[in-house]
Amino acid sequence: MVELAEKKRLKIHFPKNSRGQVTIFIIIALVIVGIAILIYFLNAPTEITAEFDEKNPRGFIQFCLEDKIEETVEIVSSQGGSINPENYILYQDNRIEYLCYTDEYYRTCVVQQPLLKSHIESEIENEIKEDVINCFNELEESYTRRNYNVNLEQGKTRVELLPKRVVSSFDYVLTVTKAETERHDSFNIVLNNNLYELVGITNSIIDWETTYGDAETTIYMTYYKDLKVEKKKQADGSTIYILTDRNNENKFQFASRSSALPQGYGVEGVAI
Amino acid sequence: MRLNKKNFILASFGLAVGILFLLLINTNNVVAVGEATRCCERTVGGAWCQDSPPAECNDNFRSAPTSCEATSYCRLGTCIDSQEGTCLENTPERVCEDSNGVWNVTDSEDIFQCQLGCCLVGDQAAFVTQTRCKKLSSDFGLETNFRSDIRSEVECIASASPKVKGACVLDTESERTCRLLTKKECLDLKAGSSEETNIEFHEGFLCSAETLGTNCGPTEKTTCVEDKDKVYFVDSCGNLANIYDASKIKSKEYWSEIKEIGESCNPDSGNAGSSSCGNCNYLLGSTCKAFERGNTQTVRPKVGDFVCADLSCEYKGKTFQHGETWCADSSGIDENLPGSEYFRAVCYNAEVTIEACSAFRQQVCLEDDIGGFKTAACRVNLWRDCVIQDNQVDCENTDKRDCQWLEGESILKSEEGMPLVVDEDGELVQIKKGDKRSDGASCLPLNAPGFDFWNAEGEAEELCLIASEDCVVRFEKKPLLGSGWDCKENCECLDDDWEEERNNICIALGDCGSSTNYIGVEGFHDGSAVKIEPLEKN
Repeated sequence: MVELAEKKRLKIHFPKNSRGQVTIFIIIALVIVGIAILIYFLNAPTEITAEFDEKNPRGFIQFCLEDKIEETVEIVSSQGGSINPENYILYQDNRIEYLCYTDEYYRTCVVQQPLLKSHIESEIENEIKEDVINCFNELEESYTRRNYNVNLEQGKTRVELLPKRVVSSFDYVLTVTKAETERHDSFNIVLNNNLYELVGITNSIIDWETTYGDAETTIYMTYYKDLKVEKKKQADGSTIYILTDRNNENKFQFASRSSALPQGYGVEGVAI
Repeated sequence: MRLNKKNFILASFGLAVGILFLLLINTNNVVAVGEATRCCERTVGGAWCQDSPPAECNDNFRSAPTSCEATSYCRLGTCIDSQEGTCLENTPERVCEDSNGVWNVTDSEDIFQCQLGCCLVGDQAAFVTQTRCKKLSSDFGLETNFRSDIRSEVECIASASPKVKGACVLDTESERTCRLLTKKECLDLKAGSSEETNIEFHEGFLCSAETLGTNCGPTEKTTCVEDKDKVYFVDSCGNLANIYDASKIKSKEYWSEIKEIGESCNPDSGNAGSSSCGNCNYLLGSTCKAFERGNTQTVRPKVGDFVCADLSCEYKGKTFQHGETWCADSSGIDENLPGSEYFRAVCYNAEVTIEACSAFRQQVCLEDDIGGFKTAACRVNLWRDCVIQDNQVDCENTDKRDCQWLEGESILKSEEGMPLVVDEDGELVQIKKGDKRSDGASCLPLNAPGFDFWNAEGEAEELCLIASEDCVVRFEKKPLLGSGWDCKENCECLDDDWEEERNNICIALGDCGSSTNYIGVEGFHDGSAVKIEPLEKN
């Protein structure tokens, strides 16, 4: 077999000038393949697992949860404060929760979410709850794999909107023992976000909507120089408000339907 | 209205429409005649406390054949968030209590916990409740100062005063340095420092003051400060100094004492586009920003990297000031063509945002110009009771409605169904012998509203019918040897003018008849056609 192969190989003859061309083609082909592989690896979604450093369990939890918290805050902010809006309007493929609503014409709206800040906090808490448990279990397992005796006391997860930040606190206590015992508690993740400020403005807009059926956007932009307030009236009488912090592009959007005006007299189906 | 006196009746359409309109306005709870509504604690769509048709009520929640205001579970009142210290009116009892709020049937101004006062937090002030004030103070980590004696928001904001700052000089064996702090901050620093460090506070002085003999001196550096709009000088120790003024860079006095805004360069101007003065003013259209090559908002500063950025806007080749609002052009709006809408444009922070007024031209945009500063607003289009007005004064009463008095044919009729004409007082009266039909007038919307004419269940057809008219033209055969027919009655209906006039009424009523829409596409339904049909030969 080896001989046959050698014979076959020997039979291949290239004229002198075309042999150089073939070499160039092979090199080009190799370069193309190399680039393709490189592009594949650069674009392929890489699964980054939380780095475990036994001296820094807080860093592990931070790494494990911060993306989830950020993503949750973004979703809640784009959907009027709810993870799964029930009474909503579709706007640019987003389900935006009505925070104040009436299905009638001429009437001002009825508040649907009076304690918005605490509602948002509990929505975020519920959404990250499972990930929190998983991350702490993963942390526990990482210590166990390194021959630590581990005791993990599970506690509550609390999310709080505060000025310019969203603070997630995990009331967990981790005690690890190898040569000596170390106790870790007060696990916190701080996300820089202006949701606290935007929710405050939202409450004020809802107050206007319940009283006057509308809100004047320029008042807020005059008071708060870094705030952009957009008002998008919809054909059914709904209004979508989009609040944006000009510095960091943090957004909060919600819907309201108040003092809606019908086409005609609002007496559909009635023969006049 | 002198309509009854003169024993007129409204045109049947107008009357019906008017009654329905009044019903809607007065009772506020008519959704659809003949279809009873219930108070749904929750609708199938997820909304709380709505007066809706029974089919809309969620069976898992309560519902009652009455309005929500009459129920115990959906009564509206004030919801108090005792944690955050906020009060929100128009909240149903059930919704409030489910959210852990405290519900109260009375208005917020009558509830003790909702009484507003002035909350001074740091340099800022907010007109909030006492509980809210405590919460704000704890959120910001500052002391509570609630002033219940201040009863207005304007007074409250005016009372916010930044604490006086000064040079806090820290003298150690190795150096004599300085930090710009408030007196309290400086004293706190003193309390927490070692005995070897000598700390003294010089109120109103800058750290760069030569007389203090610190290692901090003037520089050519400037900076922006969060939540402030001015450009500030920075000393060699990184402390803020006075507002940037290129002419004062060598002034020892300017680098010695803290200057008020009014004592700084051009205090009455926004200084947008100034390369030498950093006394920006957000309300006057400027704010501190880093100079950017190619950005027309900023000019190169004489010193440092920051300037007062110009916040005005460019829109369709025109310049608008920061804070200005105006009615934006939109296609077809001049003629209120089907599909056209009113829009308001807003210029803030060098950015123009467009706000649509209510769809179907149920709102119109109004604009005013005061001293070259434009202000616009979307306001309800008050067209609904135009057609029932029977005199010019009521019709053109702009406090009550947006209507126009169109002379010519009248859409209102007498009891006998005869056309009406205008008398010398501008009122519609019964037609007399010798009067022409064209001596009448109609009160029509000034801004024709839009209708959802494609919706079979909508009102467009009924509303447009108001402008329809049957005009019976009477001919008589010429006597004796004469051939042909003589027109004897309502002959003007055969003129082209009559058709045009009726069409104008039609178009003014709303999206009636056949016309070109806002993007220039012609209508395909010949809604305004005049049909001539012989009735009978007699």
